[in-house]
Formats: sequence, structure tokens, C-alpha cells
Amino acid sequence: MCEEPDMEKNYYVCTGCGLLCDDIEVESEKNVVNKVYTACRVGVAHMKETRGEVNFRVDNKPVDEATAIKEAASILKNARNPLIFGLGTSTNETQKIAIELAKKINATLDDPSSFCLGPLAEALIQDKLKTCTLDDVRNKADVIIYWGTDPSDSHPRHLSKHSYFPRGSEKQRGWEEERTAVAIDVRKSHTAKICGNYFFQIPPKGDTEFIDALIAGLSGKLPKTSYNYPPKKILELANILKGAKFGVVFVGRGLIYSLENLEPLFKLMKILNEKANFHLIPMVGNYNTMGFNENLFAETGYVNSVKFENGTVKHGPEYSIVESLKAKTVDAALIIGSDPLLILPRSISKNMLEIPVISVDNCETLTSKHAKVYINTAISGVESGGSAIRMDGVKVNFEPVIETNNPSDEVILKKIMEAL
Amino acid sequence: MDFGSFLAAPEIEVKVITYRDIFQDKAMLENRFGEEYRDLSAVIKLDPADLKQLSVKKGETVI
Amino acid sequence: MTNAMELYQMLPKTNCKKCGKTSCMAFAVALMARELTPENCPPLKEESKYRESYEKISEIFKPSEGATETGLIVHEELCFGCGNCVVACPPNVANDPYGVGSGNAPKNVNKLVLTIEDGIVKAQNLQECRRFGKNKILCNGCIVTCPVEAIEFV
Repeated sequence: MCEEPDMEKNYYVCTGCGLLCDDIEVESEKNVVNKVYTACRVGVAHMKETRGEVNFRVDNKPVDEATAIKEAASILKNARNPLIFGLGTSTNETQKIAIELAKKINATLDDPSSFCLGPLAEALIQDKLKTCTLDDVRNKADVIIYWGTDPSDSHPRHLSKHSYFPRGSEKQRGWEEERTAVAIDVRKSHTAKICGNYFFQIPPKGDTEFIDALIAGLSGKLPKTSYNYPPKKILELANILKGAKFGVVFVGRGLIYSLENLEPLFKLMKILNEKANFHLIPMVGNYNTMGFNENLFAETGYVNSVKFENGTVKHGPEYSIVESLKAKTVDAALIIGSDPLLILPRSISKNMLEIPVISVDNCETLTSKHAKVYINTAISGVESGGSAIRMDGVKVNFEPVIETNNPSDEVILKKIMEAL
Repeated sequence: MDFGSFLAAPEIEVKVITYRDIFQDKAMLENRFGEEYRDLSAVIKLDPADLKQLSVKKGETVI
Repeated sequence: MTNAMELYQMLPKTNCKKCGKTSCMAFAVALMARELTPENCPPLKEESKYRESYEKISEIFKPSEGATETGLIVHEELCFGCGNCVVACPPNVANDPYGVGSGNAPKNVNKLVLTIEDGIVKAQNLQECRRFGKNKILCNGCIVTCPVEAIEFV
């Protein structure tokens, strides 16, 4: 290590989104974060999340930690078919404990990927699609497509840290001369604005037809869509893609929600790799949803929506939170770091009000306000450490930034398991 | 059956495209139950000319 | 913000050369580049028939609050903290190629023109900015890369 005249920099990892930026400098005092450098607006808000006092509640009355844990364990023990959901914002270590817990109590286990990018994560983990790391993108990518995603809003540093603007080892002149960014979306998002003329606006649900037209264009045939998208523009896009030496497609929920299944996307990636060289990276929102998919896959061979039953594992859409709540098959719920009452449609989430809910989260949510048991935990990445898997499959370790009295969800799950 | 001709005020078809904005994320992290998050996410905005055409007055409830 | 053509329309258009430029159009361009001020045009300043134009042009080029000498304004309430401008800024890249030039955190913040602090971009060391000084050019790296036009040059 060479001598540096200024202080050695202490970088922290931001767990605000799926990018897991590992170059954040923080000024903190005791247990308060004062200033955050380099992180984006979301990262700063995440690191500075104001905290109330340590908080445990049963039936809306404040209790101590032991009582809350006991009540939670009792609910799970007495349930015939408990549901464990969430874990997208928990560390790898916490997720592994949750899987053990689910096995022990024969629970249904699911995470938000079952209604987000789960199918894509599954295809990538099973090596059905070619992928690469974000560092590869920075160093080599010359054609970048943002399909159904708006990283400028969801992952603000995406373009500046990895995918478009920076210089890399094989792209030393960066965005101005060596990279082309393309956006395909139903509206002119902020990212589409940056892509300028390379923005292709298609109608909602028009992605399947666009993919077919693009495949036609790549094969030299006339690209046609029922909404009369100008064939000349599609051919222009096809030419850009054909010339790519290291292309990357970032796929967001905008595309996944528009497709009935992943077949069109598989077809497109196959042809793109016949004509050029293309990789796919999913735009995962939470910082460790990818980790959950990988950890559960390693344990069971599935990425989400599983039911443990006396040593066996069952899998299917009926074990996802949406179908479980719809059919009212679960009679208790342990929600970790998620807010189903907020993110699911009311017709489904209202069924959750009929069963006892244990909410383990780092802040008050709509779910916690209606939960029988609420356990306030530390913000992982800020107040507790661990490891996580980034959206491109790279493992990142992180230390806490500040020290507070809030227990981490890892500790809480361990205690619940012991109390069973 | 042309039910439209029986309606007092004209009906329009609205396609709502929802998206997450960075300031919504920031407001949600800072205070999920606060006014800033509510103003940024629980509101649908229409062009004033469209509202005028629909004869909607300020403060009225629309279905 | 206005442009040279609009300014030209407000000038005497006599090409009297009293400002030192060969034509009123050239003076309009010089005004835009902040090389000259409305006071450098004697007819504009002194003759009553140009009073209204003089006041209008002076209003446009009044030093605005918060703008620095290069006329850079950051609309903090719009800024995402995305860092696009930081990575695109030519002096930033020249002074810190393996830090912000490659998309990472700055190796030495003091040499940079644009950095991100608390999620908002901060401008400093404006003597390094390419739009300032004797050999200034109309560099627009930070403007075109911003998704919301939070950085502006007035």
C-alpha cells in the first residue's frame, strides 16, 4: 500500500437500490448520519432515514422485545399454513435463516419477485440467458438498450456509474464517441430524454409485436406492427444492434408486465447473439431480491413461490403471495421488510386483514399499522451489515455505517426460531 | 346501444400509465405517511383544457 | 433565456461600430457570451428612442442571484444526484480520470468542478470550467446529460 498524504478513504455500500454502490463516503457522529457524498437522492434519503425509538408492539400496545418475539412465535406455531413474505431488503444471512424457519414451520415462502422480475431471475440463474456484470458494461459495452425501465428515476447512478457515461478499460472515450444508448418505452421517460433520437416509443402491450418486428428487421425482412410503427426506424434500430460488439439489454418491469411469457424475449436474445453479441441484465429494484432468488434456488431449485411440507418442497403460482391471499389458503403471515398492503391491489391485500400478521420492518408501513405484532428492526446496510447480491449477480459485502440499538432482522428471526 | 347519448356530461376514455419517480422514492423513504409522498403519488394530473371540456369544476368529485 | 437573433432585433441595427465590433449582430453575439455589456453600446445607453430596449437588455443580463461568474445555476430542487454531469464534465475527467471519469467516487474532491453532496450537485472551482476564462468555449457537457435540466447557464 503506498503512502497517501490525505486520510485513507472509508467507503460504505449504499443499500438503497439494486446498484449497491460501493463508493459512498459518509460523515457521521455517534448514531446519526450527517453528510453523504457521491450517493444519489434516494441513497441519501435511505442513509439518513430518521429513526424513532426502538419499537415493539402487540395489538397496537407497546411491549418489550421478548413479549413481541413470544407472540410472533406463538402465532406461527398455531398456524396451519403460515406465509413468510418479503426479504428483498434483507441480507443473504437473514434470507438463509428465513428459509430455515420456513422449513421448520412448513410455511409458504415467497418474495416480491413473484410479481416482478422473478421469471427473468430464474432464467438467468438457470443460465438460459447470456449475462455479464455491471463492470463489464462499463468496460466494454458499446450498445446499451433500456427496455421498459427508467434507470434515471429508479437507479439514478446507473448511467453515470456503469452503463453509459463513464470511461472504461476498453471504452476510454466513453459516451460521446463510443457508446450508443437506446430507450424503448411507452412514455418519454427521463432516460428516454437522454437517449435523444434513439428513443422508440411503443404503445402499451405493444412489446411482443415490436420484438417480432425487430427480429424480422434483423433477418432482413420488412418489420410490420399492427400499430404501424415506421419500418424505417425499426430497421435503423436493427442496424445499430447488428453492429454491436458488446451489447447489453437492461430489462425492467415495463417489458415483463407487457409480455405474456418470456418466449419472445428468449427468441430475441437468441437472434441478437447470432447476429452480434448481447447480454441481459434485469433492473432489480431492491438491493437483495437477486440474493433471495439465488439463495432459495440453491436450497430448493426454485426462485420464489414455494411451500415446505415435512421435508418436501412444492412450487407453483398457487404458492405466490397473490394467489395465496386470493384463495385465502394462508392463515398467518410473517412479513419481513415489505409492505403488501401498499404494493398489492386492494382486492387481494384486504384478505391479509383477516389473518394475524407479524410485521418485521425498519419503519412504519401500512402493513405494520394493521399488524398484530410489529417489530422495528435496523436498516440493513446502514445500521447492520452483511452481504447481498447485486442486480448483475455480483456479491457485495457491507459494514454498518452507524451503530444503534435497533436489532437487525437477522437477530430477530433467529430469536423467533429459538422461541418456537 | 348508445348509452353515451343519455349521459349528462361527456365521457372520455383515459389510459393511465403509472410510473415511479425519484422524488416519490425519496418522499416515501423520508415519510411514507407524509404530505410530500401523497402529493407526488396519489394524484392524477390532467391538462386543464381536457378538464374544461369535461365540464369539471374545481373541488368537484369525479368517478 | 434569449439568443443572439432576439437581441439583435432590440439593437439600433446601424452598425456604427462604436462598441468596437464591426456590426450590431457581432455585438449581439458578444453580449450573449458576456464579453460585452449593454453599456458598451453608446446609442443604446444614451438615446431615448432605445430606452425600452436598453432596459430590456439590461434586465436580461442583470447578474442573477445564485449564478456564478460563468453563469452556472443549479436548480437544487430538480437535481436527482444522478452524477451524469459529474462524469461528463471535461475538467472533471481531465483532473480525475480514474475517479469520476470512470464513474466512481472522486479520488480528490478538491480538483473537481462538479461533485455530488447529499444527493445534490455542487459546483466549485469554476476557474477550471471550460466556459470561463480567456479561451472559453460553449461547453455544454453538464447541460445535455442532465435528465431534468437542473443545471443551466444563464
